[in-house]
Amino acid sequence: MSYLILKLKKKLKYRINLSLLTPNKIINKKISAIKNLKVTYGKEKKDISNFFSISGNLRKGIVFKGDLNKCDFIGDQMTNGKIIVKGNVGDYLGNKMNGGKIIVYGSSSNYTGSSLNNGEILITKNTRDFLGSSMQGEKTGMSGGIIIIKGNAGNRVGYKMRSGTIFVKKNAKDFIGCQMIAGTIIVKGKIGVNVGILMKRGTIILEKQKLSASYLSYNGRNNYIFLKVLQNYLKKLNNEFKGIFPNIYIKKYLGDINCKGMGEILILK
Amino acid sequence: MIINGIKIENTFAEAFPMKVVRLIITADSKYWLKQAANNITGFATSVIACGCEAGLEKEIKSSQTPDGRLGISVLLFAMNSEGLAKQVLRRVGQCILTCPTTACFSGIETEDKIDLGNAIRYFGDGFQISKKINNKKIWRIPVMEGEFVIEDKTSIDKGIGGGNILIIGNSNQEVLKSAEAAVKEMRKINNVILPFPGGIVRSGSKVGSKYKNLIASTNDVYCPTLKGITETKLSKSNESVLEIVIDGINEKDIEQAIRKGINIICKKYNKGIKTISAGNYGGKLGPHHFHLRKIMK
Repeated sequence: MSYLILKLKKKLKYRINLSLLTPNKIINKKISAIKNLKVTYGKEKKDISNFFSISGNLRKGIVFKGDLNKCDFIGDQMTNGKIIVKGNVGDYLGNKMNGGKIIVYGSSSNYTGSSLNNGEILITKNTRDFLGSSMQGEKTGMSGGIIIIKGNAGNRVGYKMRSGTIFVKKNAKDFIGCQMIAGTIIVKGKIGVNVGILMKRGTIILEKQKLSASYLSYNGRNNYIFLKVLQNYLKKLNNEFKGIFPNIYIKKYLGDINCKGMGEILILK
Repeated sequence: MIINGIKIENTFAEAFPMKVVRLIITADSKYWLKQAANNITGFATSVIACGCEAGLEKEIKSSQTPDGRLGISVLLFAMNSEGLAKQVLRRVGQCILTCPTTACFSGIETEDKIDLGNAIRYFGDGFQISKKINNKKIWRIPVMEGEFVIEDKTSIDKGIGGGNILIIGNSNQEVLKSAEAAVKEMRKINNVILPFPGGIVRSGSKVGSKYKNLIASTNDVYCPTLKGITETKLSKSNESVLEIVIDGINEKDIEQAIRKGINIICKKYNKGIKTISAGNYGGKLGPHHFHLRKIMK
């Protein structure tokens, strides 16, 4: 076995903080030491072995198994390596991550990829609110890396986002790119209200949409070559992106015009 | 050494270290690609007066360019990084930024970087947008046509300038025909350029002149019309000499270009050609020596 496998033993009553379990933080630890790591469970500190059976080795990365929807901060400040989760995960997945890759075969909860700096997060199902956003009280959200959601996303995708790329294959709810500073958000499905409100800069790319918000200004159609550069890069990362921008002669809205209007919303169809 | 009746002189081409940058230019059509490439490599034959030596390296398939459009790569050589950065800024600013439908990317990866879009972006007057893609920054500069896309930085590498061969023959037409054939063959090699018009130089130079302000002047020992009044390296029957100058990223590819060029002359275009030689300054100019006989062994 070349993965360290952590299998959830029982259904969790309280939330658990797994920020200590990233490849870079446990790289030199033996399994016995890993089992004795203290994690926050509700208000208490407990050995991780109370909740997970642990086997394998860390050569390729870490695999979590079970329904981890109460497990928060998986991949927190991760710098390299790989984490695979076979099940749902809780809040703050990949928080302040600086490198490596997280794949979740399931759904994630709020604040996925919050303040992400670098690396890649892939969620095969859905995610909830504040995807790639800032943590509460912080000035900037995600500042690099890439997040791919194959399902739906909740409210405030890319809230205060500063750089990097977010891709949502299906729908996203309200306030996409709210207070966005820079970066790229791509939503292929339907969207909620107030997309790009208070955005300063950055790019939101949407499928067929009619936007009539008062804070957006219609700019007309033009060729956007950078989309081809972006597509070429994304295609190499994941086959999902093959032909993602079939047409680059597209409509643009500028906004939020109350915040200089340097942000852009591109409409693919 | 004689190949098919052509004497390969026991001499060497002397080349010197330079700095090189490779730019990938893309455009919507071949027409505009050629326009951009020809412009950026224009007036870049010799570093002595042009500031840099530049040429088209190869065409690039759309599947291999950063934006999935047709591409062409050009190489620019200068004596040092500062000189190269200045030339890149001027040439990209005047020849690529201005050319419809084009975009410009770095085509080389080293630790040593110079500004590309990072210098041009100010043309956007604050309306320029940066995008970080694959840990590289690109700039989207608003222009009257729409947007000009350019990579933020480009790497520079060590290069070699001044590889050459001299084709000496008994007829102007035959020497030109041979040189043209050699150029066609040599241009198939990657990592090299032939910076002179059509890849050929008719006015090879020597260092210095009787005029004190001139650092280079006509290479009189190879001028057929000066036979008899100057010390010559030509025989009585020699009527014409043409030179092919080769700049490259490494010795191996310059050698290969020389080999290919001489081979095609000797095998198919040997009519009227008497000698293949090379220009050198006795080893004082540069550390890279391309010995013709060694290459043709």
